[in-house]
Amino acid sequence: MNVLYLNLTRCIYCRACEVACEREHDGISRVAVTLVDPRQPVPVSCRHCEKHPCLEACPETAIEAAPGGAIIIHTRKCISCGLCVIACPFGAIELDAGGKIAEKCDLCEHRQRDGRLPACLLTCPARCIEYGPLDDILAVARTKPGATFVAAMGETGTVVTLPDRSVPGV
Amino acid sequence: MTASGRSTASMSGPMIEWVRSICPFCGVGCGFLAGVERNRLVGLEYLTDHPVCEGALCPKGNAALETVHHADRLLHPLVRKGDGFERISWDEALEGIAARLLDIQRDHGADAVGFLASAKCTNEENYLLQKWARLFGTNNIDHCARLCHASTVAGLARTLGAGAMTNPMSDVAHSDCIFVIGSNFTECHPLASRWVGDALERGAFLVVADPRVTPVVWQADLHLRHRPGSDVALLNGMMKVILQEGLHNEGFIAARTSGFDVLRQSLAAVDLAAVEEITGVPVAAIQEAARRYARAKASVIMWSMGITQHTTGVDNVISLANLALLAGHVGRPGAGLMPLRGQSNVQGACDMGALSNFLTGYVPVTDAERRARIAAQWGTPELPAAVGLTVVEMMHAAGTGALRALYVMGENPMITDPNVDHVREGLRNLDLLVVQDIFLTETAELADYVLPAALWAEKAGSYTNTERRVQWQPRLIPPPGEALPDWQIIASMGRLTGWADQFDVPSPEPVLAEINAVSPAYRGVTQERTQALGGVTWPCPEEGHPGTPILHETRFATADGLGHLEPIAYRPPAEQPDDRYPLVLTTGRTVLHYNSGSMTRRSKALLTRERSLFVEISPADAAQRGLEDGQQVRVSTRRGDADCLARVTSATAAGVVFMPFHFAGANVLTNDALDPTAKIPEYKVAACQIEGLPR
Repeated sequence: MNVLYLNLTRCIYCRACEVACEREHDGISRVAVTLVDPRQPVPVSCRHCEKHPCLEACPETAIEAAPGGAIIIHTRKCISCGLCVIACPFGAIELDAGGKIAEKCDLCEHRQRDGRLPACLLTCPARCIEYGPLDDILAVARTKPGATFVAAMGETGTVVTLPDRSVPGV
Repeated sequence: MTASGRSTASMSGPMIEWVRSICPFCGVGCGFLAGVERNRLVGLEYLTDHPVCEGALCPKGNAALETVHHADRLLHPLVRKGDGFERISWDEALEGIAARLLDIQRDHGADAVGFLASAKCTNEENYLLQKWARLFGTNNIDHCARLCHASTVAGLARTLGAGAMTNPMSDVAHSDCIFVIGSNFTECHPLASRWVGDALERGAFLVVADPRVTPVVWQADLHLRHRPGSDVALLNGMMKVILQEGLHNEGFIAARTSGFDVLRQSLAAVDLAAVEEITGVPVAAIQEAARRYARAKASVIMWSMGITQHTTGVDNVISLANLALLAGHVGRPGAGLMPLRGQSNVQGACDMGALSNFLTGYVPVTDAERRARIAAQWGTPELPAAVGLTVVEMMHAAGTGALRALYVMGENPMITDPNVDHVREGLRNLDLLVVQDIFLTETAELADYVLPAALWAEKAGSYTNTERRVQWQPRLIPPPGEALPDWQIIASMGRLTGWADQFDVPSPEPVLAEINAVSPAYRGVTQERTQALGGVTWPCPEEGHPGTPILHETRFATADGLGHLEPIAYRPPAEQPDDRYPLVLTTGRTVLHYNSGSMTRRSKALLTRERSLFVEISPADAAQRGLEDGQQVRVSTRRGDADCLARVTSATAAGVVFMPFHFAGANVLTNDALDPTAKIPEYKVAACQIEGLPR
């Protein structure tokens, strides 16, 4: 099971991940980097949660928890009901411009099929993003300054490190 | 993948050839793979084994292909007809331009003609253009390095003997203290963040001196929020603390520098309380910065336009060299001086001699003996000996009529030069303005002749990045319409103006061979070496030499081999705020656009994320004027005014406002007062006022 790692102590709000994602996904970015305080950017995108309210909410079988760990929307089965958009606790799913199809990060499924890593990970100038088996990611995250936690529903999903200054109470 | 960086793969469907390429934007020199199919660029892929970037690209790099097949590309030579243009043939254009240049040369002398080279063009193209200008008979050849790092070239040449970055960018990862002053590298050179981030995770200390809270400051351990233009005072204060507390490196100073006693005497007169008064930075913070910088095992200084774009630009750079020499932080891994250069080939354009005071290889035009050697190589008895006009001086001379013609290769002074209204008057006053570019830029709109040029993917040649690393860009696709590579256009102009034998140029490769012969630092920079992954770093004095990633390891490049300490006294900026213009305007870049914006404003991905001109203003200054975030405002200075959106943010200090210069308007406001040595304008300080416009 592979997970994403976002080391946000390093994020510089350059938005290269957005532009790369947009280029890889027919002009629509599935990540939006947002300033959560004046000095802390956070990329908002699918956390690929272990418990997946989006999948539970889908009245069709349009959302799949793929064996590798990715949560995938099969757009051909989507009936544009918008329930997954409401269910997602991270605001990571949106209907497309025409209000028809639910869209979100697919961990660059098309790239991984021919052995290429997700575009956001490769393009990030500040090297904030990694992708790999949970244990390896946690081993890396433990060496980083800041506070590390799993930002997802369930025990696994996306591992995030934030600088201490951005974590309330630290 | 072959050695030259070509491979064929069906990564996404039909057969696409993937060719190693160099990013056309900033001076970092990132690599990527460009996908070529049927003479079109169809895709971009990350090049994870590239030593500069490890595959990473900033948002601009990701959008690099958007401008290539853009509908606005210039396709045919144009000649002015009244208020518009008329299409003409290449022969008509080139012969017409040559005839008028020769007329002006005959009637007014060669110094009535100016040439602007381009830090976006290849080494070979810049070499050819400056050679043509000099053979034509003038040193009026300059380019945008004058507007960005002229202070660095002059200041470091005087102190260390070489006006270039001393260490590779990735070397910052080995630094224990990183002192950033006047560089917003997170936006302007985003890849630098990678190595700074590594150093911080190792426990390095980050000191940032900047009037603004940039994303660099987010990660800083210590922020010195000094007033724009107070850099010399701040640096003298830091050096004062280092001497007072005995933190200077006596062994290094004794063995490797000269001038210590004079510097010490001048620093003795510096009063830290006065420094706090001038800079606005508390003495305790100055002390902390000085101690951290001096005590660390390896410290590095990173700077950009915040240091250079001042009437004290050279003073600022000399002060940085003084600081590094005092502490002995130069010539080792993780220890050095890092001016981050702005354009994909600004280092190379300087190396080639596209500067009004230097021939190829930084040979001063006033050095008779070395000038004669180059003249002999160019088959002429003599080259012009007087220092030529710099970029801003050319605009002033155009206004007075001293300059009658200007030949512009890929520059856009109508957006990037200070005091744009004055630039427009000057350009309109010319008898002949020729612009060769890829788009009809704001400058090209004023031209008598517009020549359509090929862009990076449509021509071969070498580019030198900020680390002095020379990399080859192969030709990937043909230019659109009748557009031609800049080297081919310049060679034609050279032949048509009387130098047929010197401009018999069939391709860029023999030009690089000529550069190898003329410039000692480039002697071993052969095409084969530049084609290798990551290229080769000059000085590379002979074939087979490994290149020199770290400068000054045992000896400085000065004549006596020593680093020259030089006392510098603080001088205030040329323009001070007053009752009518009470705020200080400072300008810079954003992460989503590049310089004059002629490329990035044509990228949908970039333009939708940053649409128009804005001004950042502090909450206090906004409240005082009754301004709200997002409101339309008018910014005015002694030179003009510009309308834009207000962004109310604590990122800027009270009394200081910030505007990016990628959009028309910002440089209407800026001051064209110059540094006396480097002739760089003071983009970073202009007194201004802001008022709200009716909604």
